[in-house]
Amino acid sequence: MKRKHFFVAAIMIICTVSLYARTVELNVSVSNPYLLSDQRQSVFLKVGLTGFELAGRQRRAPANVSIVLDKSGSMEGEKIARAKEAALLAVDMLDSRDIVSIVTYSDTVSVLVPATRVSDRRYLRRKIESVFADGSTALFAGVSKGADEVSKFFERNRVNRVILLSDGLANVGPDSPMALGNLGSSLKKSGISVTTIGLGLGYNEDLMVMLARRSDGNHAFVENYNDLVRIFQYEFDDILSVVAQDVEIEITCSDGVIPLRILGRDAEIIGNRVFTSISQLYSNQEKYLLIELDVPPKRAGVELDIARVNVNYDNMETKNVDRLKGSTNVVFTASSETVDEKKDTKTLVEAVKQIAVETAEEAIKLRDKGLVEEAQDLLLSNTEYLYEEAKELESEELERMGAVSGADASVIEDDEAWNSTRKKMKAESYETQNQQSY
Amino acid sequence: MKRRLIAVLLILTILPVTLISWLWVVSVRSERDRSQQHFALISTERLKNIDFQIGDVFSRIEKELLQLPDNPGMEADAIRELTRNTPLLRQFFILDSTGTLKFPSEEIELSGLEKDFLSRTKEIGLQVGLFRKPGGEETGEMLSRGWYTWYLGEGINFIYWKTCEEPDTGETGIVGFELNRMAVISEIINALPDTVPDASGDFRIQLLDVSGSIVYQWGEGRGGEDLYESAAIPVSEPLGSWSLRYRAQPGSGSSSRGRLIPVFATLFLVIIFIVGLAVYLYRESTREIREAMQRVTFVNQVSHELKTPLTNIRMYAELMEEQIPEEAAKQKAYLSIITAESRRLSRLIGNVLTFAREQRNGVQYNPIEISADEVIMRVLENFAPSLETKGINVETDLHCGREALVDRDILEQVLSNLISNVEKYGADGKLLKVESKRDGENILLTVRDTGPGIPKNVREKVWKPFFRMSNKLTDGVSGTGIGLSIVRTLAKAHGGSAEIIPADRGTAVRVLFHAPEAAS
Repeated sequence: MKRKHFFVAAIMIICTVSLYARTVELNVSVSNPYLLSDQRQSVFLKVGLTGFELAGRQRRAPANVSIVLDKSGSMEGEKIARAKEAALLAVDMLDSRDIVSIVTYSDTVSVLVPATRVSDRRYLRRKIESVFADGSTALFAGVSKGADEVSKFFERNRVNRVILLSDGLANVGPDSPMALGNLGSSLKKSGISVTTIGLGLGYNEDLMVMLARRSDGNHAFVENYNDLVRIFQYEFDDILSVVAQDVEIEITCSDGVIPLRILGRDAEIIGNRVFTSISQLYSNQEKYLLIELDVPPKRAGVELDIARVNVNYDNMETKNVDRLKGSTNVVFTASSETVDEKKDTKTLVEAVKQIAVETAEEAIKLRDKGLVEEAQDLLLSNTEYLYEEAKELESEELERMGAVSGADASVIEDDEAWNSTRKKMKAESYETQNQQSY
Repeated sequence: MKRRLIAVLLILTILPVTLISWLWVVSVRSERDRSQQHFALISTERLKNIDFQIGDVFSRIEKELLQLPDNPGMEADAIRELTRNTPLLRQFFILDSTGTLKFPSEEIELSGLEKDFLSRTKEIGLQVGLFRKPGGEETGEMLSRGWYTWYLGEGINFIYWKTCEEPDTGETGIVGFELNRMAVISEIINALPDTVPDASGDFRIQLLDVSGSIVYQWGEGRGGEDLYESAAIPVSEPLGSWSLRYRAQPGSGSSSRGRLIPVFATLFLVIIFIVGLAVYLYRESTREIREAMQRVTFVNQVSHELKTPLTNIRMYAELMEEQIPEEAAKQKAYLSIITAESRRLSRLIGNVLTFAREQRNGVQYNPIEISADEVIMRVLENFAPSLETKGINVETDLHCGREALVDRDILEQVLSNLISNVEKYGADGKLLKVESKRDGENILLTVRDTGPGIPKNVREKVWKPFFRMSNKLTDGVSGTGIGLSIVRTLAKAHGGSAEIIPADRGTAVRVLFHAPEAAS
């Protein structure tokens, strides 16, 4: 009898938990909820998605990770030693729920550890220890084989990821940012993202960032190999805190409102609709899509349902597909004070950040063409812009960005430091565009 | 003598060793060629297998694509949804029978990617005829699906197409899938093996694109120059412009190294055997030579020891012969026999000593101013008793004239040997004629007899030591066989020569001495 009561209670608790199963928080906002009447203007729409808090590590989604290590000749010495240490740390952070594979590449690719459950740590340890550096860099094939290992155990409720470490230029097989970008797009569609970690100053940051971006993975620039282990720690913290995957976002703007461009992310604009997807959402962390919209003139007092948002994603906790809907309105007014008063500071700050990043990218392009002064001028004006907006929006974050931009402007003319500066700037840009946690 | 032996032995050793080595090299080379050919065949087979694997990738992709919805009347959103969720797919398109694109078409709102597609395919001019072509050679039927590739941008682009019936008109249109080429390449790479450390062997297989750069490779063999290309084949369609290459370590495929060890060992043993044999033979023969030399030395010493007592015997016999009174005729006859025999023995010993000396360090030549004719007369005098006994008449014709530089001993010995020969072999002719004359700086000495003569075919051989025309003891003629040999040796030592000259009867030996006339 008592036992029966116990069962009932248990079932009730389970039901309650599933009833209150947490979902991703969708937050649709515009930079200016009040707009001036009777004029055509642009406004920033932000579609933010915040991962719910993971109910303890025990409830996390299992990971299915391939660690792809560069063991080319340039990795010799401390670099390969740190890389091995980082891989060992990764193995330690995972447990028997997870699947890991280790791929090494130089002239050729070796699947050192085919996809396997993390149970026999001694075997993994021994395998990792056996790696030595030698040869050239078959990066494409390395990523390809790593992704192949991941796809062997691919499951929607696993965090499927390739972690690529490279310190050099790809010189065997496809080697352009475009080629790796295309591979990344295809992998993203397959549900696999690639985190790229560039070590030292020898790698191609355009390629590494493009691969991360198209596959929706993280990217990090590790100038000093001593930081490598720490970066791996961050990456695996991310992997082990995924709460939602395969997030598909569809935004439909109301009649007359035209999406002009997407800031930071890749998305498809078809007429008045925008499609994009985000591979993973992490616990308590926001990822967003920022769109600049062209709003047609309306009379004062009109309330416009500016955009409707549909989101669906795989909930890693419940293993269900959750659907979210959201929308936001703008009100037209003749008073510019009201417009200013009601502005959405948070959304504006993000918009400023993304615009500043675009400008910084532009500066990099100028510098690549050898237009050092122009690049410097652009960065300086960007700094000014950031400081102004920081003051206006009372944002410490923007002030920090301004300071960084100012520093970049002062070192951009230094030819010797350029390689390192460029890698740092690329990594920072991507970090902002991707709302990366580290 | 020794040097010749060494040369002969060296030739006998080097010749077979060279021959064997050459044969060995030739056989190794042909074996290597054969195994290399065999290896090329095997590697080509292997590449063909890999080509099949690549073909399988395309079949798999084909199967996957054929499962996709392909209704030509599909809504744009459905098509886009399909593209978004198919990793391999870059762009889906529908072409109607008139060659106009129904999707993506400029009549509807397009995404940036779709606009890109339109601009990159503008060059090739998408239309049904581009894809639909007569297929199999036998049937000539129009193909209903297949691959289409073209080059643009970073390399090869793939389109898989199939025909579809248009819902309204019933005409044949095309549904096409443009693939993400990097996704295709990645699929190919994933279907091919990776490098298994320490187990993949010393080869490297490479997949090369149209420009010949490596797309993917595997195998432990390093890419360096030590690898040679053992086989290369083009990849089958739709990757027809790509190729596969097999690079191997020289000598791989033939376990020749292992197989050649016994061959090498055998060869080595044969060489050692031959060299050993040569050394043995050399030692054996030099021992014989050494022993012969010792024997000669022994004979020489014995002869030398014999010479002194014999000289004393001769001297005292001659003295006694002079002092014996006329009336004791019998004693005198005995003594003359003793003297003659002693002289004969002296000559014999002299010859042996000359021969031995020649063998060792050549003949001494000590000329003095002397009348050659007088020496000749003295010798003839010494021979007179024995010649008389045999009934041989002596004729002389001596015209040497003044004194000249002559080695007395040599002249005496040469003449003695020639007379002795006449005594032994030409006694039947009962005539001995000795002629001498001056010929410029030379003296010509001719000794003739009217005996049986020397047959033409042995006229040179008689000058060789130990040659005897007959060895039969029954001939009743004794001799050592070194007389004429010594004559020639001595003549040469005297700057001259010795030869048999033609004669009407018997034998005529002419000896030439270099003997310039005395200065005064």
